Amino acid sequence: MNDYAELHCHSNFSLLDGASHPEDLVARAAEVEMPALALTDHNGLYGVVPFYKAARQAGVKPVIGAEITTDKGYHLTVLAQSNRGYSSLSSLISRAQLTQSKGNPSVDLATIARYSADIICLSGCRKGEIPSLIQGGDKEKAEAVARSYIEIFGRDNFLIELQNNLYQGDRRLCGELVQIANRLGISYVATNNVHYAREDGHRLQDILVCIANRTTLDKSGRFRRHNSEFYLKSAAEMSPLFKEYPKAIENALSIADRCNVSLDFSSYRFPEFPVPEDETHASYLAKLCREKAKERYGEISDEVRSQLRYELDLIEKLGLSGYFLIAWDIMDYARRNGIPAQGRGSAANSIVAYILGISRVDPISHRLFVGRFLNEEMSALPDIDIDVSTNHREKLIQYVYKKYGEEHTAMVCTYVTFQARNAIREVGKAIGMPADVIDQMAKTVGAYSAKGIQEDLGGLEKFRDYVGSVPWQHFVSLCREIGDFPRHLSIHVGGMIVSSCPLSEIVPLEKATMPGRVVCQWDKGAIEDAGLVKVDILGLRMLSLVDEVVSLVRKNHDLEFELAKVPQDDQQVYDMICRADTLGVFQVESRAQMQTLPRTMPRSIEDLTVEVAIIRPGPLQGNMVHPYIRRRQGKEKVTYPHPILKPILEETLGVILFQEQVLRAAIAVAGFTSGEADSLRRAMSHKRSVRAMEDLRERFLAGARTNGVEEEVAERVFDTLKGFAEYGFCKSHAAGFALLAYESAWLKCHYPAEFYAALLNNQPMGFYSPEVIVGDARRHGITVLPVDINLSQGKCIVENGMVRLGFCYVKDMGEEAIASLEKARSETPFSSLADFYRRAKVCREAVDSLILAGAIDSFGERRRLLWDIGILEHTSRDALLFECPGYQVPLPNMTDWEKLAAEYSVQGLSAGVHPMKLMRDSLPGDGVLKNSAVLAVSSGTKVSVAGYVVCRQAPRTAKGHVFLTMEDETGLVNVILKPEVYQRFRYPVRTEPLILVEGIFQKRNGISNIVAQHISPLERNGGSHDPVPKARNFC
Amino acid sequence: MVAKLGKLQEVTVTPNSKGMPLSLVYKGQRRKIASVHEHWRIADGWWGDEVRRDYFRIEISHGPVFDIYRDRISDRWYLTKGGR
Repeated sequence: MNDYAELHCHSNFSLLDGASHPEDLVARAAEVEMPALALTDHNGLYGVVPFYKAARQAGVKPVIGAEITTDKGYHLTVLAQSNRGYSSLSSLISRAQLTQSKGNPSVDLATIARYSADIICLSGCRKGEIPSLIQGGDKEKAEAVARSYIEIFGRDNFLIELQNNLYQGDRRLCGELVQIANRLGISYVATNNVHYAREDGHRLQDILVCIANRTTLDKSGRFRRHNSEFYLKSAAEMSPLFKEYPKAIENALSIADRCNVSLDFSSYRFPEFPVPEDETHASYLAKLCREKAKERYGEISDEVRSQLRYELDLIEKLGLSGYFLIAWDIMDYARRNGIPAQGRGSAANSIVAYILGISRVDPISHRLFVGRFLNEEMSALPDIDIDVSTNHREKLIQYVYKKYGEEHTAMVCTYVTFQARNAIREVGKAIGMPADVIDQMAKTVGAYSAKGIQEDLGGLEKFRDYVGSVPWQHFVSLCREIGDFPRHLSIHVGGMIVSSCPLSEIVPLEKATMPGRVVCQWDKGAIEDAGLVKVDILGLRMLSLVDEVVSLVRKNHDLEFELAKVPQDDQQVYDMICRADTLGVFQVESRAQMQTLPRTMPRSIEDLTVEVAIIRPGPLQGNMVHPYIRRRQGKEKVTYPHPILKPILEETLGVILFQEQVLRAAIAVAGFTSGEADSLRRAMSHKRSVRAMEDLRERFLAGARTNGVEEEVAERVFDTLKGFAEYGFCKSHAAGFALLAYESAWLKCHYPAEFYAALLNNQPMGFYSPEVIVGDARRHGITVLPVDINLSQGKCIVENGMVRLGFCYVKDMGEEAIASLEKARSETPFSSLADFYRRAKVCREAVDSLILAGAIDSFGERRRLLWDIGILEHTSRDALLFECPGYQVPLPNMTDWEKLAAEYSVQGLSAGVHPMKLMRDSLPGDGVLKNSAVLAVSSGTKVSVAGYVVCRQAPRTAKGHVFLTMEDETGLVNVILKPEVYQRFRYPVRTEPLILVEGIFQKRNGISNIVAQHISPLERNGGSHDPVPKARNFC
Repeated sequence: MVAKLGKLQEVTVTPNSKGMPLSLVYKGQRRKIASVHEHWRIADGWWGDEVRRDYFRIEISHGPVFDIYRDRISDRWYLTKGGR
């Protein structure tokens, strides 16, 4: 029997059509000993990189191709014969995507001809033009079409594609196609139009088709495939289907043998950065550094000089001088144009990055380690990531587009994948489950991953009746299978690639949903694997916030100051941080941070660097945080695994917290080079095979022996490193963030009104909703004033030391409405509702929203105003030059509760009282304490509190515990639910906004919590018309 | 998805080891199947009323052409009067 190679195969990157990951297809190919496999997704090369990697590893030859759509809507299979053919293919797909509307790629014959070099073309599946014409009875035209493709590709590179998926009519169609091939003297080849790796994949493929067509299994007959024959078949399974045409099977392998593409972009370099004629990249970089080092350091110490020389030599040796110049240029543009930006990540370990202004962190004074970022053995390009103020990000992106050209620049894509909630909704709908059941499951599921649905929901009382039934079994198994499947393509938050050659020759480009944006078809992982240069330009709202606070301070206090120059040892600021008064402060405002700060008591930027690093899943899982905290509090002795590690670990009290420390330890103990040490760190953190770890261990111990370190000690150190390497955090990244955290704290401490105004203007960001921020402002003595049509602006402003809410918070007040209002008001302030309505020219809905928000309270009672606007609306605006007396109907005034509800309904918050203040007297039972009163009781006391849930968290590291933050009129309180309590009260905890919690108050080391024993939802006053703050859910 | 069927009539068919029909009992007589013009497969309804059938358009020696199918769940054969 002949070998067979499948040349027409769709992965799940044929979105909502292919039902297997590329890796699963390769695994199946290897199982059936298929020598080669093609990937031919629809109009794209999305999955090519993982496919190629998996195929090479499995010993299956990868063939790169695609199924493209012609301008008449027919399908055509195209395969790259060589790297040149790959470029043709990528360019062809880019044309198909960029010249048509988004989601409807297609190409005409002329374009196909233009990009046909080194392409092998197959006539396509049943939806190909030639088979379609034959099935329509027009054999003559089918043959003419075949001739036109022969003209383009040549007799050797155009083949008739035969498929026999055991559809009625397949055999006859194959016969007709073979006749055409014979008449035209061209070959024919068998394919199976594969859409899933194994036969049982047809179920998931049916579900995907239903999702794509927004229908259910029962109603989708005309969309779904008739049988389950579209799986990756072995040679033994394919041969009988083509027993009349054995050559079709042989030719598949012959074609595969002719296709040889290597996805190797090592010869590709990033764009040439223009330097003066008499300079090279290296010499220009060195010159820039020498000039700017004086600006940074003033006096250049020996240490600075030596480190700089070392890095410049290393950068030149690695051929990265141009790369640094590109990054410097982007940051320099940002600086010259007042765009707040700072480098992030491991790049801050580099003194060159610091001197050039790419990073803000001095690696000398922070004792960082460049080996974490750059070393002789590195095989991949380093990452230079830039955080930029969200408000300015687009400007910086456009600069990169303009500088390098649109042909050479594109955004990196990312895939929105199926996870628990969307899997439940979409699979459930396709199966035909009742909508209310789907809704309940989606709201109740705690697992993030779709693979955890069965365990998560199966144990709940609510769904017990379904478990075990056949539909349920189908449902959970399909959810499990669809987990992590790409659902649709989106733009990565900040990744951009730049190239020296036109980008479309390397990776296909397509339109993003955002107008004017072009995105490449590879995500971050694929870009890195392919060795392309990526710059991450990430929007960071905190940079926008800080920039805005500084502007407001300058304006309101007539003060010039540079935030970067404020003293970094202001103890008033650290006092605020240590008492966890950090709502709104960068990186240290989360519940977990607030629970840690009173224990770790950071008092310097170095301390803040540790603080930023430790409250992460990694360090928490790696059991690094608690030993550090205990040592910080003096409750545990500071020890070191070995004295040789003391200089490396003393800054973190003997605990390994930073990746840089792992590298330094490997160097100090085992004499590794920086490159070897970084390889060790990466190997340890990526859970390599037992064999690989054994090799590393041997090398480490051998190095330690050479260094005179005893074997027992070396083994202990190695095990310690192994335990922490996976979880350590990058210190330079933490240091950069710590600086910004301090600055934001300094601004909150010294200019709170401006801080809160800017915080409200830069939402959504941070851990808390605007409603909670307003409460925090009030508790800090900052009055928050309601929106007012004569006093507010679009954004929140500071007015005599108070914060005036902006129109941006009012529903239906978009930019146009705000501009219209402000223009009218600039002529003269509004004098009445009628005057406002006539001149501001905002729509009725906006006027209603402003009335409900209290923005027009100065002109009357709200209910009266709502009544009046109803009358005014029926009068022409010009007629309103004269006041209309209107109907005077007696109307009751809105109660305080109604006003509050009105404000929440259109703003999501109120500048007035907290709803709990008005509810306090009607709470059930006695003894429900205010949150502020709870904090004063003794630890161990049973308490009851009531309030709104403003935050829900279920961190992965918390072993099933769930954390709530509740708010009342006096402040916030933290509630902990042990796993068994959470399971008992899961539905109300997850869905009810207002709850009563009974539990035990606990106070330890300055941290207060209520350990819940019972949760009950509270009746609200008006049902759906009540003020309900929107919670932040992290679970 | 499943083609409209006429009345079903169970029929005795002898297949080979690969499931291809070799002969059937037609009008009381065992008749050899001269040729299988077409073979197609339907697999559907897996979430409820599952249907899995192999259809064959057959021609018996000196006889008519008609469609039969094998129900892959019950392993029974049926003649469809919808065939020629």
